Amino acid sequence: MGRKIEGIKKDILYFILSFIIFSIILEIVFYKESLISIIRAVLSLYWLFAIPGILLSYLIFEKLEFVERFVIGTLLGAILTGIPAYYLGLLGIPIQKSIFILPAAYMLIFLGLMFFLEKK
Amino acid sequence: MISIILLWAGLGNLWDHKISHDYPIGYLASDAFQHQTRAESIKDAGNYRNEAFYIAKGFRDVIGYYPPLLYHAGDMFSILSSLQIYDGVFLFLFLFTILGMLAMYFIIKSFSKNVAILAMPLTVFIFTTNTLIAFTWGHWPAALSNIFLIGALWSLLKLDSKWGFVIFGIFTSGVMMTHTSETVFLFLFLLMYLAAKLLLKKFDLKETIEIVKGTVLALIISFYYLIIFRFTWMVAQPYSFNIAPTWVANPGFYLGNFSNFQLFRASEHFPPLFFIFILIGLVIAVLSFIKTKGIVPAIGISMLILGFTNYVGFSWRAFQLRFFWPIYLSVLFGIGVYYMVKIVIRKLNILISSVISLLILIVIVLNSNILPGNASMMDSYHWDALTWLSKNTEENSKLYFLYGDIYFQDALLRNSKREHYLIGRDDYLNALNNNTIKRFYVTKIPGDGGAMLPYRKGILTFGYYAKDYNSEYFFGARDLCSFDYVIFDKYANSNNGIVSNQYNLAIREKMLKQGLQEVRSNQFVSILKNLKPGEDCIGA
Repeated sequence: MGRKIEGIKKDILYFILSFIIFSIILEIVFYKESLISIIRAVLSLYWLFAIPGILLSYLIFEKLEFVERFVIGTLLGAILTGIPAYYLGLLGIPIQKSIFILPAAYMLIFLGLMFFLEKK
Repeated sequence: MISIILLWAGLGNLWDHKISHDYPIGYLASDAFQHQTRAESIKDAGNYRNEAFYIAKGFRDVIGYYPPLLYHAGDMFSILSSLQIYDGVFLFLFLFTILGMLAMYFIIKSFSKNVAILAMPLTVFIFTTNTLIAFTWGHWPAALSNIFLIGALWSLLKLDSKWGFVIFGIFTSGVMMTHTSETVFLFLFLLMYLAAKLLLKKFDLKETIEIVKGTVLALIISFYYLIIFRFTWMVAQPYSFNIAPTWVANPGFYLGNFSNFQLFRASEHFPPLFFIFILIGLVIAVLSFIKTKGIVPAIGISMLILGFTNYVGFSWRAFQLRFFWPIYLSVLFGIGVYYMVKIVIRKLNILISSVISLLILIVIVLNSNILPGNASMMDSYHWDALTWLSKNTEENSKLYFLYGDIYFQDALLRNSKREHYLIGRDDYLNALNNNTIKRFYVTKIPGDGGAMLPYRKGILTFGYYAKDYNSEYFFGARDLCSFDYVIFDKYANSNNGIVSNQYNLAIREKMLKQGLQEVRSNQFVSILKNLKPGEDCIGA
């Protein structure tokens, strides 16, 4: 198994942990809100932005501590999904569909690229 | 810990510690509603091919001309998390501001971890009153663009990676597609940084080539929108030199604001402590840059200088950059504090730095001007009226808003999602003072005319409704009786010389007598439907 995939496997635990910590932080700050709403917001953030951006960061930077990868990856993710959603909208694919299409496409493309590059 | 405090002091407090609300909370000016309604319209349409007609003064083929990224990212987050757009986009922006602050932490950490830790307390100023208006007054695209700008600065540290330029390119396209003017600041920074390295005989050609590659990628990604930008904003608001020491009608952010909180204002003789640390940090950063040519000190120095470009023609754009001074200048603050503390504590370690950082943070938070919870221009009654109009009136109906305290921050009226008109304040006051009720009032067509209402004639040719029609069309006399719905505020409590809305109610009485029907009413707002638009509706 290559280093990029190994890096992801190593960070999966941190990723899950970050989700829990993020949810706890939001639950503390917005303590009058239901936990379900908080988790839904965090899940959305992760699906739309964190996952695509973090996956791209694994493709480009092998060595990065997880928190830095998470922060930069999530910022990147907003651009990675936001700009194509604009263009897809112009092409007739509504934003409501981009929500599912884009992160799923990025997962396929980036993971596929990783396997391909590491097999080479 | 800092993230919790930042969120608590910022959005948590402002939103009364809830993320979903019955109406927009934390919206304190028209521009906040401008962005909220645009995001809402994109969600409704599913795309941003055109501006919604109720944003574009009734015109239906005005192209979507605003940089689109904020709306699309914010919309996607709102839709998937089942939040209303007005909550979701706002939450998205705050969360990304925290991420931007953390990105700056990692930038500074590449210089020194102690400095990074000591720098963080200054970032809290991003959520105190004078900078909080970036959020509450609706400078959202500028704020998000600055966050991506920080990402672009971070990526400059990684250009030695084989594909590092890709990340720089993506962040730069994010800046371009969110609030294009920050692109100018990014490239001014790069110009200063590379020129300084050239002068100091440390010019790195490989680094420059990677920046060029990233820039080309950003231009490719943004190409379609940049054409729109070229023929809209660059036509409507071209650069013109002027010196603007202050930001008219806005509480701009100044260096002195870094000491502008209660503890220090209590004593006039107390020095502006944070400002002093920034100045000390500036001197050390300059010396450090001359010695190491490192990018981190260059960021602090350059962002301070760029914040003063209001003196060379950048006007309010420079003030929008200053909203993020608490984050950008945290570099200088951290360096200043670090070297001052080092005089006393020679062996400064991470633990001591963290304790000092936390103490500074607590002092700032406890003494900052933080807005009260639930502050908003909107209230449940007006929100009820506006959403009722959006759901219960015919799509092509025309609405007329008579005087209301909040209506002159007129972007909020776009929540009616209908073509709407607003009575001119001066004409209204004159009629009120003369005690006359008339059919024709000077009337404004509210909407976003900032880019002159552009529409496409060809691939590279554009027309502008703001030029096609004379000014009277947008602000001139109109027949009150020609509208399908007339909206009355029942109470007034403003500083506009109107102490009650008796005049509104008198017009309403006349209209009711003429057969108009009240179709919606609550404690504050009454909506009448005109069944015969064009006929006499006031018994003139």
